Amino acid sequence: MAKPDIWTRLQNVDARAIYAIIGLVIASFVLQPVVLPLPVSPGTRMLYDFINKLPPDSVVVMSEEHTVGFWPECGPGAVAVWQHAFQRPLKLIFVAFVQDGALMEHTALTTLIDKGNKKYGDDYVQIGFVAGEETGVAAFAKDFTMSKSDYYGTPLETLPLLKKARSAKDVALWVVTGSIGNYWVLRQVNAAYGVPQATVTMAAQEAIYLPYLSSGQFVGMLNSVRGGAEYENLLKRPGFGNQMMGALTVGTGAIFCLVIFGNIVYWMGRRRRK
Amino acid sequence: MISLDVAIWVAAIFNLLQWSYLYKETRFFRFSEHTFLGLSIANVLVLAIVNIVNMAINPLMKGQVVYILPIVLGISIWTIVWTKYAWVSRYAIGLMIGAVTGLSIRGYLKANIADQLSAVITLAKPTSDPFQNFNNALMIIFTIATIVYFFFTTGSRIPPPLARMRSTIERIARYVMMAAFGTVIGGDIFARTAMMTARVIFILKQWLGL
Repeated sequence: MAKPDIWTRLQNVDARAIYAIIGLVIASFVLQPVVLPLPVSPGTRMLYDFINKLPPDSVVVMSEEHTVGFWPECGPGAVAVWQHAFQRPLKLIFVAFVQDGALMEHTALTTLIDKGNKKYGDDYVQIGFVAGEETGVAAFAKDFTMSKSDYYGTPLETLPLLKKARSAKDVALWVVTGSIGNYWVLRQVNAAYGVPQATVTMAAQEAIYLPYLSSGQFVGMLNSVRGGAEYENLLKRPGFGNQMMGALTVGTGAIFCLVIFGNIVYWMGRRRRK
Repeated sequence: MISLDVAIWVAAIFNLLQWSYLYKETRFFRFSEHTFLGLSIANVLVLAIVNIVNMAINPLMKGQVVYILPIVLGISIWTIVWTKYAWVSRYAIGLMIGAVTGLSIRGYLKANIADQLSAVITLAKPTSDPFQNFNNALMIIFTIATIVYFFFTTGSRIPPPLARMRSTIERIARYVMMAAFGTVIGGDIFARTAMMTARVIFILKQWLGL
């Protein structure tokens, strides 16, 4: 039996070798970080400028709408935007329409965000999880106190911020982190109350949400880790986004090269067989 | 320096057990998979019970009798497991679907149709930037081509010149859609790599302290 040629052997290479190559590439660039040029995307710049131009005491709602598994992608952007909002004289309301969201907001607010001299209850509030998905968004937009108590069990009626900000009518910006929640807020808040909306979303969703950015329905959009790293650079506070970007770019580049190489091997093998 | 935090050790070990699947399906992988599933289900169940208690049972106990309605409807969904009484669950499910559809359609017409259409129409207005004009023209052509692809399915009963034109438009639409889907898939690969990179950072930096 004739010995298979190089192209046939390459087509049958063990998939584990490919996993190992990608793993090694990522690990080596985590240990030896590379700083790559990172131009700021228009969507990131738009959100940064919009938050900078908000008048003092404007109310901004931040809603975290993804499961914990997507934190590495959305977390850097969310933390950077929240940090920016805390640096400005704004009133912030944190809410989640996905169960995991409340936990991630709590963790970020207690361990990652520098809150400066902002006071809980007066300057910011964490509502916690609101059930009902889109119906929950609609009910919450109509009345912020519909949940009765905040994440810590404090009655919402006793919090000074929620005496001033009663509904979506009082909101200057709504930032959604994640994916599906964007549609809920788009339909129940942006379309119904005309509240400007922005998003920190996953890379797979960027192409889906771009039409909303170009139509002006979104006033800004951060694309995955890259958007987070860009926002960190605008704030001059490099964080987890920048830490990930070098290894991530090289890792994705390695996958890209392997896809091209795989196609070449396939076509060469086919040509030989003919 | 290697971490001395027990939580980080547990997370790192389970991370490695999960990754053992890349070699082959091992007992270690199955152990970590079942542990994760068990914990997730327990977490969701506890959160669901807490929500029901906070949002329905507590107000009911305080005399707000209207909350009996969602509780009864919620319980009625469980009849779906008995064939004889499964019809009862349809009322609750029908009510839920009706409420969500009615609520979302209100915003859908404006957010997903009217605003998107007006944004495309606005693109037809020329700007001072020739590249922007070219970009806008492409967006209009691609939007119309994709709409034609889905809406004008006339079969072979149209005159040959029109059929040829439709065929060209459909080809453009196919390329446009393939490019869009390719972008989504590319983004998804980036997303998965981001998750892996975050875990590699966790293992090497937080756990091993390298």
